[in-house]
Amino acid sequence: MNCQEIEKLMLLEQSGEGTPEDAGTIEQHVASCTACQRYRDELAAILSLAEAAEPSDGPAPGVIAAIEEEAARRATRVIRFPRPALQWLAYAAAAALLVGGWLLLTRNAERVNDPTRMVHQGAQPAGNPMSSMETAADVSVLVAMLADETDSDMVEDIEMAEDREQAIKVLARQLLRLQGINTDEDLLADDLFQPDLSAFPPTHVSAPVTS
Amino acid sequence: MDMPDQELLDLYRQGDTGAIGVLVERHRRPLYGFILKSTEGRTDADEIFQETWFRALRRIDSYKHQNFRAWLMRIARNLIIDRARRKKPVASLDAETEDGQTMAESIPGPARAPAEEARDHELGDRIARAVADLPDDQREVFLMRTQADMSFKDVAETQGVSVNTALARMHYAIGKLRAVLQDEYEQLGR
Ligand SMILES: [Zn+2]
Repeated sequence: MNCQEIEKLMLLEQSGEGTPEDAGTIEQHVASCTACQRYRDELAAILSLAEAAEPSDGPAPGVIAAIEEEAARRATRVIRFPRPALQWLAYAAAAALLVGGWLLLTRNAERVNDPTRMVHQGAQPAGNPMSSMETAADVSVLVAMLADETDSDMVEDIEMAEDREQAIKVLARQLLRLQGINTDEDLLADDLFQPDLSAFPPTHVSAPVTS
Repeated sequence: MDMPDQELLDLYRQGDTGAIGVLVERHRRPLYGFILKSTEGRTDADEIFQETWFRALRRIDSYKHQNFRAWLMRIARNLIIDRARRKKPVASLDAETEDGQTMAESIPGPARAPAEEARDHELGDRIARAVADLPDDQREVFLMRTQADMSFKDVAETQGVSVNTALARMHYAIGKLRAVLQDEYEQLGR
């Protein structure tokens, strides 16, 4: 192992992510390398200076109070439903999304060990209305408009999502919630929420790959 | 008092609003430290701290992360990036304020015994300025490690990169800070 690798092991050790084997490797190396001895000393000095500079106070007391007020307000919030005339639109959008969203997902799936997903990987459905919507976030804006519920929280949740799959789950959950359907986590648990790809003819997803 | 974050979140979801107060206090110093050192003074930092929690409260239903602090950091980081984009040109911590101080100087330092630690204090300031001058990615890693004591795994998750990349960024950052330290030691005749 070269010095740079040893230095990175030291960083991991310092963060508590090193293994006992790493510790042994470091000790063995440092015993005969003055450059790495020095690195270790200076690393310790830098980190202690940086940690000592942590502010002990702040934010202003009013900020903490505002957060606690907001927490109390949210806890008692009543969920608002969209106007009845628009509810069926939201339903339709939800259905389209659950289908279209999964197509988007499977189209971009990276789990090559799943043969069902592999078949559809890289497919570019032509004429599919969903294909013009590149991201789940685009879709979420559309749906929020349909539901007359331009809830920026929803769009933010989509943006914060870990990946496309999570984004679509968040979106689906939001849509169901708009309909007044209680969405506990079990309902959208991974195994219950897997798409049944056999329901979609292969031509709909991908002509070139399946042939 | 040592109730895990997840249990406090569950309590809040069940209507115990006081649970949030415990969480705010628990993560206050690391979160605020990270924000303060990534922004331009306490007014900005207070705003971002508040908005971080407001957003967290909005999303608490869909929160599923294992590490709550890392999640808060990620929200704060997004807010800091947004703000930096909106403010152009981005004022550096070395830019002078109206009263002729640099931003880095105007950020109040920690209370210390002045006489015998004057040298350390100066050195601490030099390191703080060098940290402020680091490229964004490297500064983030450095602050998440030193202010928030986040693991490289959590830092990597927050930045959306591999652990190796986060580690390499920290390694670069330390390399630059070592140069400052060595420079200082030379001046002191060590
Ligand atoms: Zn070495």
